[in-house]
Amino acid sequence: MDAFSGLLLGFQIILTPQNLILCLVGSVVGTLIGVLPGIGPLAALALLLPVTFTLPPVAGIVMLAAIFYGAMYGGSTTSILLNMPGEAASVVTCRDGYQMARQGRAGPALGIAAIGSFIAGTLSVLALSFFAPVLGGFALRFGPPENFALMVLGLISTLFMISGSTLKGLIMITLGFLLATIGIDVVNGQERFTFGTINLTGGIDILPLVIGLYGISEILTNVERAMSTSLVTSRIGSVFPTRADWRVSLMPILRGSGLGFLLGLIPGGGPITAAFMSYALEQRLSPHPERFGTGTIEGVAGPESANNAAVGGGMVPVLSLGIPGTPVTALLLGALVIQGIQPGPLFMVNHPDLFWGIVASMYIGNLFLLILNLPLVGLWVQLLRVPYRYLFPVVLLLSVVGTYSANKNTFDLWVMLGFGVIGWFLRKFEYDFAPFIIAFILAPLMEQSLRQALVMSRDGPMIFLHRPITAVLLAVSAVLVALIVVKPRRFIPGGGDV
Amino acid sequence: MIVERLICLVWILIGGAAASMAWSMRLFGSHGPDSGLFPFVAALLLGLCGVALLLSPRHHARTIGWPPRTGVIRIGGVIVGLAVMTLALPHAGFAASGFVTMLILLRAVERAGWVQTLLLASVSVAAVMLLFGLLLGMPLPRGPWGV
Amino acid sequence: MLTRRMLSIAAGGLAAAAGFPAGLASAQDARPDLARLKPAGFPSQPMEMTVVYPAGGGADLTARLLARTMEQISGDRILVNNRTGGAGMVGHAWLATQAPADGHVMGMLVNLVWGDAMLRAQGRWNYTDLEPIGYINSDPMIWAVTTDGPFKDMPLARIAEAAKEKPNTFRVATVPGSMWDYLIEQVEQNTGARFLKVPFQSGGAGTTALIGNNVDIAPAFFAELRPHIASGRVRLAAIAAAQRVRHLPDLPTFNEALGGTGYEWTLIRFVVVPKNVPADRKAYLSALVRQAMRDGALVEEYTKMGVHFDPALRDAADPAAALNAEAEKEREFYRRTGRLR
Repeated sequence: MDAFSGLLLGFQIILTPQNLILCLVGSVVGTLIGVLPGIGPLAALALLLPVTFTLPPVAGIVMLAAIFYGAMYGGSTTSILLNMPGEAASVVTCRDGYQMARQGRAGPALGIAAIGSFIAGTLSVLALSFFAPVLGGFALRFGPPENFALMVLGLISTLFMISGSTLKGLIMITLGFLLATIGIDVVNGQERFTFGTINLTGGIDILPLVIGLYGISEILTNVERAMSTSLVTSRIGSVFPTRADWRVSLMPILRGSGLGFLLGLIPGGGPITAAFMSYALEQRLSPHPERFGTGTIEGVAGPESANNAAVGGGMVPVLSLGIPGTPVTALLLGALVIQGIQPGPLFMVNHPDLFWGIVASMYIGNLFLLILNLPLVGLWVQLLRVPYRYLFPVVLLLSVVGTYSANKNTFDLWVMLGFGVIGWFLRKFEYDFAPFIIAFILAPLMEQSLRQALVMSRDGPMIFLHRPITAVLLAVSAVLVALIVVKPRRFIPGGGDV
Repeated sequence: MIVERLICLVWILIGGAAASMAWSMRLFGSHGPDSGLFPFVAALLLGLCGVALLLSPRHHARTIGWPPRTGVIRIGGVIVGLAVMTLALPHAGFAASGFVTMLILLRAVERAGWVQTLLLASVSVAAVMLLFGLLLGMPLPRGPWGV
Repeated sequence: MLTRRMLSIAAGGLAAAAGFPAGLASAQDARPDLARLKPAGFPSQPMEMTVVYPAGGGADLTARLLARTMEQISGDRILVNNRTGGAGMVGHAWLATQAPADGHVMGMLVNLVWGDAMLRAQGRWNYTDLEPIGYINSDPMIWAVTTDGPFKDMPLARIAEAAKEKPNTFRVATVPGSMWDYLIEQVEQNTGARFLKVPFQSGGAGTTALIGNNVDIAPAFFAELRPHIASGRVRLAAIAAAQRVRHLPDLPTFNEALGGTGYEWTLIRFVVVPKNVPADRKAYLSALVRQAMRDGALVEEYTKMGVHFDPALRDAADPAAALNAEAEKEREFYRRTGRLR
């Protein structure tokens, strides 16, 4: 069956009133959970999973897909409005999105995030429909050596993201690296820097970390002075992106979609890495790299598209091979299995109705979310008119409950509070946390895959040169390093004086 | 500026301490890097960057906007409110600890009127309980009195 | 190593051979029994089923399905609560030391809790602080190879021989400090084989590496392997269970394939309560779990997930004793291998 007739079949299957209602319910619930700080797509899916067991397979999957996309959409909302990442993948959106909100441009930021997500989601589902089997094979070629090379490239591209002092950026990167090694070493089971507490044996969780460093520290900074007014006092301008916004956002959305989709395919990739790398790429390509971080719309459009495209990319190995790359896709796979569907290489051949039904449900889910989110933009923007003195206590309450709900462990709340205070303090000295977060995410994967690769190699480090993908990725990294060394000032804002 | 130098010292200390701990974890094993190598390198670089930053005032922040005295008290209030909630949550349950925290934030930090404080505190706590407990089916911790 | 279990499995083997869980037919009969056992005034609030792993994983899914069925049978609310952190250690410690022992908190555990208790709890708690009240299901570990790899059609004994002839050449995926490791170690010790052990964070990651030809052998569970068996990409070499399992009748056990004993490593999922829960409440909860596990729909859902119902544990008159005996066997292994002094 070719993709066109497949899609037609898929749409015939899912376009029933029941499925559309479920899709709507899923979108609303997903968006709501995505908006709440601390609980993200994974919690949303797990909570509603038992509900879907009583539904027929396609209906259940329609609802789950809608929840998943909804949570990804919703995650950017609080990042933009409050500098509070709704889920880890929206950290990058805080950077320019929140600055835009402070300048009265929350509407265009939210709008472009929703539209970018829609375009990226749709493009990635299109790619999934047409190339799933081929792409699945590509994903499989990423073993430990390839993952290592990818992480090296990712880390080097973050050097472009350092704003302000290069030295402070490097401190943040090394600190992120160091903190990421806390916990049990996956390679040999040895405990590192756990100081005998069981709370540290699994390492520090990323979510309380980013909520503290971004959201809580922002609140602490804002309450320094009694604020009788709302957060944004300037006139809140147009709710929708302007023509100029469109012009500069289009390419970042398309590039973000492509990059996110490719990174999503790879088991070690995922939405967070995709968002960071898209941001770094846009900054590198922009004629005005210095504007990044001050509220430029490309800095929202690229990463938001990338993290949604990564979701579509992540579905490829699940549907074409039965291999989940992230916990979220593992959960979707589990849901399918309970429904009696076993995704795998033969899934598309043996169950074309289900395969195309799922694909079609992803199109519909994206469309519903766009329709749902655009009107919501106006509503969210009104949130900024609430006097800050009443807004921030409620936001704090929600972040505590959300963060606690993820693991039911008060240690996470201490992490959130501790990093909130550290974040508030270090901001005064112009430290930027983006390099810290990306190093924290990439470091464990990088270390683990390097060591795995060396164990599996029969000729030591040569394994990195014998494998074509690895060699190419490392070569690109080397070129980037060369660029930085040769012309530091051009590539790193404020750089060159290390 | 003295505080900035102190921060550099903290980086150097963290780097040094972590590097020495990592050293004892074995740097190399039979197949290459062992548990200690990555943290050791990261810690060493952190310490070195700390030293470099200490020696190059050019990289230091030019102006630092410290909060006024009242601001310090307000920030302290927020931190205390969050700490109280974190400590009380598993024992007193969400309803009680959330309510007390809202009182601290609204009364002590924002000096809102009693009526507004009580109203907003009860409404927001009830709304969160409704949202998480009923709508999402996520159990919130309960206190000894059942809620 | 597991001789007692082999005996009891021989006894329960008939039920397994018959095709479906024993006792399914009597599902309706036991319900009045349950009503009789229900203590007055219990439960007085929604119950919690603690899962120590993150939402969405295999354990979480197992618990949510079980909780839903238990809710349907009892009419009381049972909320699944994920208390995660430290690869399960935080949740285990909470259940053993802090959870209220009034019957309102149950834990759905995997037998990895025993390794935590014996090797990593540092005396803060013991596995006897958690009393098993019911068995759910099992997943025996399976070694899988690719059909185009070096071991495409070799029986396990030949694989071990090859790894002895060319030591440290063939790559096997492992998860350090767990049953993945222990099984490889047993094979190496008994056959003289030497593998390159490539560490992964989870068994699933090892399976992915196998499909991508980054390792030659992956120890994994049936559910993960099923689609790849169907597509012909993967072949199963042996299963680390005492007896062949019902859904894979042609797959030899490690004991058969290597002519030894004690190659038995299985994920066992079961329900516990903290110790000191009043006896009547414990008896009721235990009956409730047992009743849920007789529910045809639940058994079917678990069967779809590709799990194994171990007759020796499922049909044991005293599931707590049977599970504790398993824990003792594990302790014995740690003693013998010097992991526990």
